Amino acid sequence: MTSTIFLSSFTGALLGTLLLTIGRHQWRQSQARRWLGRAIAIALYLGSLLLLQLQLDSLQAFFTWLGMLSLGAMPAIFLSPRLIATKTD
Amino acid sequence: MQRDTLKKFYIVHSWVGVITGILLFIICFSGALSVFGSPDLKLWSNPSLHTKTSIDPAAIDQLVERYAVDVPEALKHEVMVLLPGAEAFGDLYIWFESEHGPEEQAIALHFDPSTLELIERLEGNPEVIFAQSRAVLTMEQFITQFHANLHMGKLGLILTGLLGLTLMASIVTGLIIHRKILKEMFTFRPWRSLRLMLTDTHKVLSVWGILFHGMIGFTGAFLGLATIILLPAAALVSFQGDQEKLLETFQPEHMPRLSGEPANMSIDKVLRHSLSLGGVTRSIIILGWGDKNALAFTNTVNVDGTGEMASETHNYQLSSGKHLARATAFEMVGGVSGPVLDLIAPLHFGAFGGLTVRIIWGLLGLSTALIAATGIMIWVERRAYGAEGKLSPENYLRLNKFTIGSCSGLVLACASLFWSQRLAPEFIMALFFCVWAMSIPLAFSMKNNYQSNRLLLGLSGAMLMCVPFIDALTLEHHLFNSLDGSHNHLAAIDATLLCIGLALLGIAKRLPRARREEQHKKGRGTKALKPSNEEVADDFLEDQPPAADIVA
Amino acid sequence: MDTPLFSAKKSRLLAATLGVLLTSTLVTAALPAYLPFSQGDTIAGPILLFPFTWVALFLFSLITTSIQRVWGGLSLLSLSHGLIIFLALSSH
Repeated sequence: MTSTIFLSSFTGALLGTLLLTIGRHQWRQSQARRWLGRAIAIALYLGSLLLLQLQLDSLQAFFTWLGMLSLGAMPAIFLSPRLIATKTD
Repeated sequence: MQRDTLKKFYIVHSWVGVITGILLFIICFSGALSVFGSPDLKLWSNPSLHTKTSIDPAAIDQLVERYAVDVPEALKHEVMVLLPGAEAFGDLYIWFESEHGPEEQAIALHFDPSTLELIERLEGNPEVIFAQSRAVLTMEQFITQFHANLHMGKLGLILTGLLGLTLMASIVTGLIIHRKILKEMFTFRPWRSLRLMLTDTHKVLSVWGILFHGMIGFTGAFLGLATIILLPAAALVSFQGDQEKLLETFQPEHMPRLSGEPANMSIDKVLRHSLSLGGVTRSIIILGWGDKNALAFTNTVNVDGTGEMASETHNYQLSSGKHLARATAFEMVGGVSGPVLDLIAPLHFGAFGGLTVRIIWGLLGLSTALIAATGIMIWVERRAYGAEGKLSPENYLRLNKFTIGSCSGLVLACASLFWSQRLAPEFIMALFFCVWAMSIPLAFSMKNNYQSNRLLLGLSGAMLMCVPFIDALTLEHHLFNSLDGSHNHLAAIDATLLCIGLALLGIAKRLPRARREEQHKKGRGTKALKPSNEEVADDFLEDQPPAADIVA
Repeated sequence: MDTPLFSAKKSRLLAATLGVLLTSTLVTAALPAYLPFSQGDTIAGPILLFPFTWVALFLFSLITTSIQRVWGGLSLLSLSHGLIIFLALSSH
């Protein structure tokens, strides 16, 4: 698999999760924004899968995608406190 | 669900975690390394593979014919050629075996993959000579075997299999006790307290990686217990306990009906065809050697993500080289079970999509290991500095010291494998266990856990950073003379080790030197006397994200 | 005074470790005798289900309040499936 495809797929998974996290924490009051965020996140996740299918057969791409979703999501959650407005107690 | 039942699940989850945690870290960390066993670490460990060798079917054909002349007929019941290459068996091996049974005998020949010169000849019981051939392990063989059975034979296999089962139990109980799972998936509070940071890390890694962890638990349990429990159980009723008969019924390889007419063995035609199919041809098994009806079975794997995900067996008539059939490893089982069985090995080993899948699987394996480690740390934190513990904090902190010594010590021991491979290859196993064993008293001797963790991880990083330089001193081809693009794979591995070493050093530097005082004082101040059931529930519920749910 | 969450801890631990392993192995070995699937699924299906069988019995043995019920359940499963194995082997 070329590194471009890998990095693009990973970035899609990471950004998708970041959007969902931001929506959950920052856009509580705006349902429209939250749903837009969800729609974009789903599109990013699906794009992540389509990119992998450029290089791998369907079954391999599917399992790789499942792993990629996990791998992309974890750093997104760990980075989120630095990107989202914080409140100290 | 009733509150008491929920508390029970929580207690089961935490105790299963603390009992199996260190061993789970060991298996998962070594597993994450083993993902890169073939071809990366195999290539790195074997200087004979540093220069790319191609398989010459004609040369291999001549080699097998030449040595078969001197082998007694009884030992030609099964002829096995294990092909060379980083994605196959490293060097070239030819095995001549008699019929399976108590008097089984074999001759094993080991050849240099480039020159095809005979390196070693072993004769005797197949299990004995297999063990002899593995007397000196490369670091790749060592770490993959360590992951599979902790170098403890059948007992080790049972242990790793049982760990897979307990991992599955932990996942199920973890899912049950976390009622607000959707909220917890998106919650990370690193600055409120150490315990909350650990708890949130544990939950984020667990939930987001749940499919991977579940798959590893299931496939790990299956692979570990397959030969000890599962195969005997499967054969008991249907085949009256005859495991050989069970395997013969469902595996593609089968003994041909011999004609009694001699014929030439066209290994080169078989090998040429198998290599032309794409994928990697790893081995050839020949049954009925010398007979017109002799059959050859080649085993091929697709490692670049195209073609069949499971390994395949291609069946040939050996006298003519004609391709007869192909099947995946468990295709003959059929139904729903066959395809599921076919997926177990490729999914567990991450050997189905090339380097990028190995990287994904390796990193996710590290996350499974981290879940185990953070789980133990949460357990200790709740008791040493929280309201749950009945013993003094020092007693619980001893567990922390042992955990750091075992887990970070394992990281150091794995880093030392790279040094041993180059500088003292006969002592790989001894040095590994020495370094690991010394890490534990080191952890106990340090002022606090944070400093021992910093030291062990820092040392690991420093060792890994030195590996390319050791290669430069000991090898003909290395990173610094491969910048023109020759020996790319080896150079890339050395460069990766350098980067990982740097990263580990960076992490070690950023880790705190001691526990933050305000948390320590706060923990002591609130250590009130409460009945243990209440403490468990209240403490657990305190860590749930609040309704307002602000990050940090 | 609060009743403890887990009664008969030693007995329960024994059930959860040796008892569950033995029971799940017996169930796995006996299932091919009466599953109505194709030969492949009848033989391979139970061994694929083994991890789930073990987890279910493991949690049953730890979570069930009554220790008598735990041992009763494990014994019933073990004895019944042991009998099935015996009858299947005798008939060959």
